[in-house]
Amino acid sequence: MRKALVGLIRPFGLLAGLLMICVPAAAHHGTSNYDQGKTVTLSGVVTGFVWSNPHAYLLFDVKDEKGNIVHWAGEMNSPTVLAGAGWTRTTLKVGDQVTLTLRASVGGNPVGLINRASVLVNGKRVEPGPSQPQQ
Amino acid sequence: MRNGMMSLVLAVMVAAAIPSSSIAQRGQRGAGTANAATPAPPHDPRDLSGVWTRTSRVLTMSAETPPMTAWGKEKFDATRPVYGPRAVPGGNDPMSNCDPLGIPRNLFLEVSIYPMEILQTPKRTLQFFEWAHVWREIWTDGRKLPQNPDPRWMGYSTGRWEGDTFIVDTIGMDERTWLDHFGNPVSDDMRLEERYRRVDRDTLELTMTINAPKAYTKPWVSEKKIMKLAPQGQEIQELFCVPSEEQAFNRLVRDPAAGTSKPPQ
Repeated sequence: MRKALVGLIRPFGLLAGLLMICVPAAAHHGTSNYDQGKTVTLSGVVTGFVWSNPHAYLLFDVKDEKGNIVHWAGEMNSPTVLAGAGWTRTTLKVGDQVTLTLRASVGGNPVGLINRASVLVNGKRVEPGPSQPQQ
Repeated sequence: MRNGMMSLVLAVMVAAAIPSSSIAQRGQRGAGTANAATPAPPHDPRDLSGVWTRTSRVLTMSAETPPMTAWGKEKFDATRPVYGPRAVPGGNDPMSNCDPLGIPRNLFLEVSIYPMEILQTPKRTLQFFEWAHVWREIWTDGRKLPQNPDPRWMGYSTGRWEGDTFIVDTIGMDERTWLDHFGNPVSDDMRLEERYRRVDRDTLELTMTINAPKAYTKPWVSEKKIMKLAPQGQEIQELFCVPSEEQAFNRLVRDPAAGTSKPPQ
């Protein structure tokens, strides 16, 4: 179950890549640290969901092909943006099984920009909560 | 020309960055106000109070950056932005350390990404910016701008009405700030004029002009920025840039993503 599902997908042209990278995270995060055309899909276990300003981020462990644990980090939006999408600081908890897609970093380290819409928690998609007045 | 291209790319990128929920929200508002048979709701054109949401997608003055002086170019070349065509991994954007963006950069975020609240009192008009949860004072008590003031992140601002146009003059900006996300320079001789006009109850227009002969060889006139009145109940959120949290983020995420350091394992 915890077997890492790793896929390197290049389905997009440059423009599509540009648009993809400009998920709301790009609003103040900058885009130069992430590959515009390379995504990675991973399954792992949450070791931390850091609800910090101005960036929330997820820490999670993934087993590589050799069975070694790799500590991953994934950048997310600000808590205000996440809250507007119905997320809370407990949407992801330590020990949760997650499957998600990230935009790979240019630095070659196990870090990425999380596509929020892709996140499955314990097999379930994160349901948007009640919309808040300000996203 | 190069700067024009830059802004074009930028416009596409920023357009894509606008959260879809905000577009949906504007769509709903539009649906409520588009009925031609309904008379426009009354408004006081000299009352700018309210929470204003952005519609502009350009995170700087306009698509065309004016030519720079040698001083301006040198300062520009020393910046390594993380946005736009000059973006590099890591970069040296002061925003990455939660340094104050200052004026006008903070303002660009508020008319392009985040909402801004305006409060008017008899002697001051106050702007509350969601980004970094900071405010700005625009004095309307008749005072003059100071002469040769010490620079400040937000500069010094006075405001006055000409007809239904609220005109804000700002000087004394801090040269440590970047003018925008793309590293355009700020000079201590910069003078910013903002002209606000509430054209109907729901629409606030803003045009800006920068005169900064130390950095640019010509004045820089902005595109017309248009903001919309937020739905009743929408408030400015607490979006601080917290230095200690940003440092942890840089160590665990940003710097490893850029490849400038290894993540702790």
